[in-house]
Amino acid sequence: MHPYIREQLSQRAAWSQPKPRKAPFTLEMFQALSRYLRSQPDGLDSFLTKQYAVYDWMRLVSSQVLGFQNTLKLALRPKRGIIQSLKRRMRVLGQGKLLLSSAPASLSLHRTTNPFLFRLYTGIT
Amino acid sequence: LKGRVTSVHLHFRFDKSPRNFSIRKFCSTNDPILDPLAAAVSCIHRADLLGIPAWEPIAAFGTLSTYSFLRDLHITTVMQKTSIWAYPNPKHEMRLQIKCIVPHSNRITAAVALKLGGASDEEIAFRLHWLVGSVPTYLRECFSQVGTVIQQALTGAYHTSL
Repeated sequence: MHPYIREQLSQRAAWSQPKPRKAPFTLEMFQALSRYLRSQPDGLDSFLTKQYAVYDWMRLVSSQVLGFQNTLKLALRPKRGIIQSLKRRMRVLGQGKLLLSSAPASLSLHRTTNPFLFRLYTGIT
Repeated sequence: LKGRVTSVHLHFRFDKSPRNFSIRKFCSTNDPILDPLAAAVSCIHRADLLGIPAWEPIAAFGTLSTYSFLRDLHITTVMQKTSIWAYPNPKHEMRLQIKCIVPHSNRITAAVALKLGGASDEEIAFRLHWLVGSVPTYLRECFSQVGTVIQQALTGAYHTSL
């Protein structure tokens, strides 16, 4: 078969219905959702709602656009108590799954007490 | 926890980049909304309150007696409802394309915001864990639709990250 015809057939075979376009979730929408949550009565019931969970999920996922610090190999030992309690709940961000799943040592929370190490670690003065 | 937790390490379990399982450190941005540290702590705290077992996903909601994990349908519903709150005018550009707001819209937002802020395709791919070749595809999906109002809103998101 002529290469041109073969390419044409190949392209036709690979064609599929274009997927619908996606609109961005704008900052104004974030603000609107934040306003809605703030208008709800304070308390556990509000915090456990679907709206609040979606809000947290979205801003966590959107954090990729935010500046981040590359991890240095300088590990600061987490404090016991509440930090350790949180560390037991370390999670992995599962982007394709729309869920956050867990794995030890994947999400670590650090608390620094030494200002010099803190600056070295985070670059924040 | 406010003031005690200074950073959070996110382990990206799976993505479309050649650097799967990378770990990146995020510090607080002190932004009232777009603060990854506050969001992570909030997710973990909610999981604790719901009594979710340690090895289960933590993106969940419910009551103290029962809970459900977040699914794309839940997220889409809330996002589209939020669009109505943000843009009450039914003829607004964003209201007309409300069906185009899906969970992936977050990533579109990130890509467009970075692009509007002057980021290169390589930087966008690095930040969003994509292949460089995928960036133009994502931008093409929505970049041409971004009007002035949306551009301002997205640029605001980018500036917040600086």
